[in-house]
Amino acid sequence: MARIELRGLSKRFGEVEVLRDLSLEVGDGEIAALLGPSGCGKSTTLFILAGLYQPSAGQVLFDGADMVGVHPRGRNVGLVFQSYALYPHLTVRENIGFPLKLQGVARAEIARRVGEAAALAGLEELLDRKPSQLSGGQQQRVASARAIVKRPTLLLMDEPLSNLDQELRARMRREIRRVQRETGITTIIVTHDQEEAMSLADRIYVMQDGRIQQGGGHRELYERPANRFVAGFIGVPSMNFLDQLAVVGAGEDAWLESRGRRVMRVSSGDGLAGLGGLASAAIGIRPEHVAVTPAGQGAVAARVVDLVPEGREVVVGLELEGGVELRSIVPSTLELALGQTVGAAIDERFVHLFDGQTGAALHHGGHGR
Amino acid sequence: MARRRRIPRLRPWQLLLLPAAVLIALFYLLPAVVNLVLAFSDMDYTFDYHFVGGASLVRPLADPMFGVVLRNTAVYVVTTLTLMNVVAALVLAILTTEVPERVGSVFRVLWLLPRATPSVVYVLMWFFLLDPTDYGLVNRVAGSLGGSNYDLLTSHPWAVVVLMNGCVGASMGMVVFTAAIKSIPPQLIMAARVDGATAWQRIRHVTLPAIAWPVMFVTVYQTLSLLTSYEYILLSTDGGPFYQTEVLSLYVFHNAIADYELGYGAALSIGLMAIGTLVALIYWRVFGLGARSLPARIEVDR
Amino acid sequence: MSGAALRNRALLIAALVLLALPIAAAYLWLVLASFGRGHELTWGIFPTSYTTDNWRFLWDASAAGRDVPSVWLATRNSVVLAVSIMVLDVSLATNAGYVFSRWTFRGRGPLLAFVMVLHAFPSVTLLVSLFIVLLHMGLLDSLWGIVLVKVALQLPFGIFVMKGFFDSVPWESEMSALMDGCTRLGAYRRVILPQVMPGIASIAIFSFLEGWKEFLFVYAFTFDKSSWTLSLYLQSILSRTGGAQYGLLAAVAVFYMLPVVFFFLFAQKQLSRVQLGGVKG
Repeated sequence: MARIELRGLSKRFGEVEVLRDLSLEVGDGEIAALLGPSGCGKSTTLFILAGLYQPSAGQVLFDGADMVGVHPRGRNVGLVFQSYALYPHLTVRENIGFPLKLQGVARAEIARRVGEAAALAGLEELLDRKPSQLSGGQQQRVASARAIVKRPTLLLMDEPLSNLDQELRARMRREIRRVQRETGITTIIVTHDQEEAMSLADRIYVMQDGRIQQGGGHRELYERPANRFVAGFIGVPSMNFLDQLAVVGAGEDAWLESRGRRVMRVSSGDGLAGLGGLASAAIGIRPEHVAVTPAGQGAVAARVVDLVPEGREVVVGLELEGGVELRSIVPSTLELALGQTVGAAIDERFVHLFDGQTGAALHHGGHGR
Repeated sequence: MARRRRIPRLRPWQLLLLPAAVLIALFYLLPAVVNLVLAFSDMDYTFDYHFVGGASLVRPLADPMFGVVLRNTAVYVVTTLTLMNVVAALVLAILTTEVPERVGSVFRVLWLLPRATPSVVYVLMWFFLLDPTDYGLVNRVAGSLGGSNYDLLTSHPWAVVVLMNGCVGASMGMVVFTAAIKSIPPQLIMAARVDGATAWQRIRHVTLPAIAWPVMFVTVYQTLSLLTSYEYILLSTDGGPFYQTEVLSLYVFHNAIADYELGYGAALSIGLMAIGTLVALIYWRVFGLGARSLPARIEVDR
Repeated sequence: MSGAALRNRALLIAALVLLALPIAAAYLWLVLASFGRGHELTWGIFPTSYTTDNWRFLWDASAAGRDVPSVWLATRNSVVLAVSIMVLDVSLATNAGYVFSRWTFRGRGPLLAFVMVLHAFPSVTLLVSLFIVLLHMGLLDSLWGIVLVKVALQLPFGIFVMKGFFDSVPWESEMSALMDGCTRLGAYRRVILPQVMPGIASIAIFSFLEGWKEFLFVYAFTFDKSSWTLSLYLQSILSRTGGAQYGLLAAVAVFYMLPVVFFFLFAQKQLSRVQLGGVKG
């Protein structure tokens, strides 16, 4: 078990800079997730942790000891690949026992520990099969068992569930959590799927362009996104953004305009109108904070242009006068029709404010539902 | 102060590459260089090296056989290439793909058999087919049709040489064209059938366009093969009768290995080497046989 | 299927049979003639009476004539030649193919391109200078010289084929092996090699047959009868007797063909993997 720390990590492949001055920390026994769109450098980070890639600069610390230059075999790291990478010529038993065999563990001890790992992963019945005779979920389990059988100090998983179907994924997530709890191995998971990251990880690092954009628990990322990228990336459906802002009117009749069109009512004084620099900023509103009201009740008039039912709720696409579009999410019980004219009311208390240039968060609203 | 020379420690990949590199250097590259050096000499059975420079390049022009040999080579390459290696190969590929695959593959395997057969055995079978007595199958068939006995190896050496090489050469084109025909999208063939195209129209407008590129490929490849292969000719006619089937590569062999005119043989083979290098480059560039070399995805060197 | 289509198909198959008939007849004759007595044939290929006399060369050296060595010496030489070529070609091509597929080093691209050009180059044009090179190395008139030459000339092709097989082994497989505690070479031996076995089998069969069939280099580079292989043994009888002893010739040829037929029938799949671009002719 170990505390993992990356300090000032950079990585270039020729001319391309894949990681820039990246730092992160994972506590002993924690599960962390590296979350980001494809090409953000998250897998590269994982392979540097594993020792398969060499960083161009920076430190890789396992319990404070720098691992840069240490051969993968000297790191005691388990790695589960997206493709599972099982050895096709070996049986499940031989696959799981392979790391132990290389360590020179005695045959009886190998058999015992393979049995243990197989039991933990629910593979007892499949030990004599070849990988080609296994389903995707079973292969995933073998890959996990092989990675943990040597009792690694760190377990790395690269998109471990992305090749499985929806239902299986949910079950495997529970299993990974269970196994991790039982073994207490520090684990880092790379994923592009925020649902996966949220449901598995204690701590999530959102990555983009080779940098960590923000690290934190899932509530922190959702409620206090550090910048516009994180705000837009986290949350489904994603946050609405409005820019070129101005406050017009005063008192009871004060409005916020975006691109010269009214988008929401604001209160003068301590509310949004009180914040400076609106003209060069952008506001972000989560869909659940855009209320759909009957037409003409002090709200902005809007037309329903899109309806995507999601069971209990429905995602509504709204087009305000002048073409500004907003997404809202409302209970399915609210009966709406395409083309219908409604009112769109944004609750000022829940609005986030971002710098127009850097995208950095300037102000976070509340998070009532 | 004497500095101790450090023995360079080889990395694992260098150790693995070294034996192949040494062997290729000694028995492939070195001979290529030696050939160039040899070509400007008049080395003969004494193995003495005398540099004669440009004189060796003029020597073929003074050789009355050289023109004959060049003409023979042209006849041999062009005839075998067009009749057998391309046309016969194409016919075989089309016929075997027009019948059910189970039947077609049997015939393709049969046509591949000569390629797998040792050259001496292959030539022996031709001797049987062409035997001038009644024992020969060709004369037996000719006899039963009312013909008389032919000694085709003497009377029509070219026909024999072309057929003998072609029956082996055709199988390469057959395999390449078959693969190309099989990779034609079935929808295209279905569409042609639905449009009511006859078999001939289908072959003309669907199949042939699809194999234009493979035909180019086979043509280039086989030109080179034919220019440099002379084993069957050596074993059957040995260039005869009276130099009628003496081609350039065989002439090189006769000069260098049979008559020990090593310098002259090397000079003659320079032309073949030049053509060979050119075709190899065409191959690599035009047909994209240059293997892709992606960077390694592991940055660990032990 | 309509009547016209059926008739078309029958015509096509008839054409194929006609084209294949001479080939089939020649091979059939070879086998029959090896057991045939005399020079009489029924239907053009069937001997009128049968005997095992033609096969006497196997136990009676004089049966093939005084000017040839024992058939078993020639067989031993053929086996030594073919197996040595196979072992060297497979091991060197496999290692080099692995390096080209899996390691990045300075000059890899150009070196690989160079190997590709060598692969297409007509190596047989080097016969004259190979003679000189072998002479100076003291390898003339020795099977080992021919082994080294054949392997060197065949290597670019083997490297090309093996690199392709190595390219198809996923990198994750090797990464996994490193994580599990292998060195790069350990991963090569334990994880990568087992996954390219079909490629190794193809190269092995191909290079064995190339060595077994070899005629030209043995003919050009050996003088002593003790170095003769089966191809020279057969060729010598053929050139001495012409068509006078078809029975003996056919028997020797069938004997010589046995491993070829075995591989051709039972390893057609492996062979066809490398046949394209591999053989010239």
